Amino acid sequence: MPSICFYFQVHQPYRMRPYRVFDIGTDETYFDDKLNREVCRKVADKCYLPTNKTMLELIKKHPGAFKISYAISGITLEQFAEYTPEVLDSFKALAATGQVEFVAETYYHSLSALFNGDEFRSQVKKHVDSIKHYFGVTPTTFRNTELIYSNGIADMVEDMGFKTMLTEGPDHVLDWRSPNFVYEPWNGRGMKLLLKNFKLSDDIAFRFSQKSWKEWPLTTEKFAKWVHSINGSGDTVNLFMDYETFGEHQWADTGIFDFLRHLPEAIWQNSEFDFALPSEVATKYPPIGKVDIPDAISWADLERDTSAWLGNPLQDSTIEWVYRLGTAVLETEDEHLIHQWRKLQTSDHFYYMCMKHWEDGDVHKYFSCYDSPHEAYVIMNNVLTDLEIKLEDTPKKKVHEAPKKVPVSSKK
Amino acid sequence: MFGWELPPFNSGGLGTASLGLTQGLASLGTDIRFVVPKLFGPLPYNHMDVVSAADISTPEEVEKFLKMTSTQQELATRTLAYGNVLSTSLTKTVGIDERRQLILDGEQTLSPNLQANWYAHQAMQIASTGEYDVIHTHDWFTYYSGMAARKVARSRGMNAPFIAQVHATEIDRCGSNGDPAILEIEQKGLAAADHVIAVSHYTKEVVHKNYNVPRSKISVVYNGVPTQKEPKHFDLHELKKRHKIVLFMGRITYQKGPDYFVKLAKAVTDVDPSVRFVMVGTGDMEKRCIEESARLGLTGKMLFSTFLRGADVDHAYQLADLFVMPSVSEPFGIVALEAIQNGTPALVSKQSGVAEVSEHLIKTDFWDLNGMRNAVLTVLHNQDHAEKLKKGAMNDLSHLSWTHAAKSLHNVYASLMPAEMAVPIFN
Repeated sequence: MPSICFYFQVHQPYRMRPYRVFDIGTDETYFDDKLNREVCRKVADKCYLPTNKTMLELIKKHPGAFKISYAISGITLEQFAEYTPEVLDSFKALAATGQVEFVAETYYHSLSALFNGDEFRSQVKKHVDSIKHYFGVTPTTFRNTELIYSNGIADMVEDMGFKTMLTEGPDHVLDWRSPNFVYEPWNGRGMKLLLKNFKLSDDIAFRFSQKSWKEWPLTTEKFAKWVHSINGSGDTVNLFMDYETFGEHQWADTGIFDFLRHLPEAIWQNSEFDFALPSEVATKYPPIGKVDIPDAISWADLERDTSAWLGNPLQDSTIEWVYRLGTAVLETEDEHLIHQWRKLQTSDHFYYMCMKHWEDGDVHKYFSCYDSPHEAYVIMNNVLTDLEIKLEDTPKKKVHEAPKKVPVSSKK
Repeated sequence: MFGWELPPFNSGGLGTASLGLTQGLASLGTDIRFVVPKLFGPLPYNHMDVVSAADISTPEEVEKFLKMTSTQQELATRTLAYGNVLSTSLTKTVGIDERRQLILDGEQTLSPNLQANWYAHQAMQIASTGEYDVIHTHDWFTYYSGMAARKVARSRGMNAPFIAQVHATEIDRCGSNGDPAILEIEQKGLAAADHVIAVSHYTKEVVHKNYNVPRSKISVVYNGVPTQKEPKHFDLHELKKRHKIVLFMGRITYQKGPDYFVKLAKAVTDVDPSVRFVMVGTGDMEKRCIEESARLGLTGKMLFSTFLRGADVDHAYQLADLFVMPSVSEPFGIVALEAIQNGTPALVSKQSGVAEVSEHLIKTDFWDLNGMRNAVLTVLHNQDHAEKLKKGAMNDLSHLSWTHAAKSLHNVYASLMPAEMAVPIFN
């Protein structure tokens, strides 16, 4: 009896304002409050509020049967609380149904897993705490920023006590294997791995309204038929996508909401199928093998690797700088300063600096608030220069204390 | 005078120089009618009569002109410029938004020939009214206008000489990769001019060697310092409290040598990593410079800023401990003087005119990376030396007022005019 496992990424970065050379040392407003408020408001109206409403209706209509999961980054929760509290309330209402799972990630939606293990663990802990705070639950499933995954990252995540982890299921890793089963990490000690079925996920997330696609228009019947075809050769269909697919990437007039509303019943046309949460899928089906992923993968771009955020000199030199400041920032124990620094770690800032110029370039451009990757780099550099000055001005609290380890690891 | 731009609607030094020069002339009692291709808004000064060429003819006339092939346009302009008959319709003066838009759109895409011819076409109409003793033009865009206006003047019985002032040539801007059309306009214009004014001896030689203009036909008139008032003083920038700062300011294009500035930053910070470099400006090499800077490991050591205006410009100069102008070929280089005015010593390439006007500018070849690096480190690490350069250069500036430049111009004018003209009126 195969399951459909829905997981949605809910994320909004703190976008930076055009921070100038002259602002250095005089202005500590790095982020564009007005722009971030506007974007949050716009996406709330187009996506979060109507989609949450639809989800709640579906859950109430099908008690115990329709299930979904979310990873909402910590900085997104923060922005909801400040700019659109009604969105936060609507997620709380979803949480209260018990048919929704909240997945943990780094609070800042950062690339810290690739750069600094201690920093990574601190941010995960902060996110787990905030999920507990807002929704009263403790996540047992983890997904890293943009599904970035490697054997090493899985190791750290399992060490933190997570039972399930989500990532992409790219062809170059799976080869002949199917993403429609539960797997284990290469050095796993019991943690389960759920891999995204990128074909079926992207049919909804990217191709739904694409008129040049031969399957357009995508009906629930057609989609359900594809899902049903895995029966007998798979345990789970992992549909992982941006939550903004609903109403923001695919506008309401494409029929995406109607699609969503009627999908569950279409799936249930075959009574073998059900909807399950990631943690349920992980316990319900046995793992069929281990996957070896030494080099980081992700769900981004055609390459499904980390080249959306890293690899060109603008990105590499800037992120290296960000993490180089880490020790000095943490030593100040200045919460505001640490928060500022961590907000600069958000992966989107490096995504904007991407200079790949094929198909994905357009996607990068769509998501960027800058005219060019170069502008993103220049602004970030000015901000980091200011942060460096602040660091010099802020006394280090830890300087004369014995070095204290950040208490994050829960190794057993 | 026929110009290209005026502050605050300028993209570079030509506008600044045009303003300074006319202010200097006006202070000597010269009446000036200054023509620009287009006026984008009200100007914050009234020492001269500014004419917007785009606003003097009807939309029909413009449309007709724009519809011609470039050969037809050239012929039309030539006929107007060299023929004897003046169309009466040309003297009509109509200002229409539509027409303005046509020219505005055109500026981006029209060929140099078309632009120069159009301007000459307008110049005919402008020259057909009023009295003037001298026709003074600034750079390639205006040379055909000068030729056309002189023809009109002659047909009206006036003997106004056509003077072409060279602020920059296509050779300076693009080296050997210049636009042949612009080169041709320069060639023809400078050959036709009664006299040529170069902003430096460096430029005089460029003009002589590349355009075959005899040295005897070229006079040198140095630019003045940009403003005659003290720059606004800014508080010490936080960055400057912590680091020595080296500044580049200018268009980020081949001519200005921005790539040499990036290489210099690498060379200097390899020796002294605490030095910070700031690059101000925009241009077609901007992205390349940013990428190269990141590639060389200068992230955190090199900051960038877009083109600045007004007080921000002074602020940027004051931010720096040293201003560097590594131009590949710079007829003058007014920016170096702006830096001095703001109390910042300057390093300029030997391939610049401004190098001639002060003993207290540091001079190296733009390509001499080691020489430049050593000079930069010496100034940054030797406060006394920096102070001496600053004071010396400041002193040299007093000889470089726009009034002084205007007096030199008067001498040139006088040498070209009939002796009996006592009080000249200039156009």
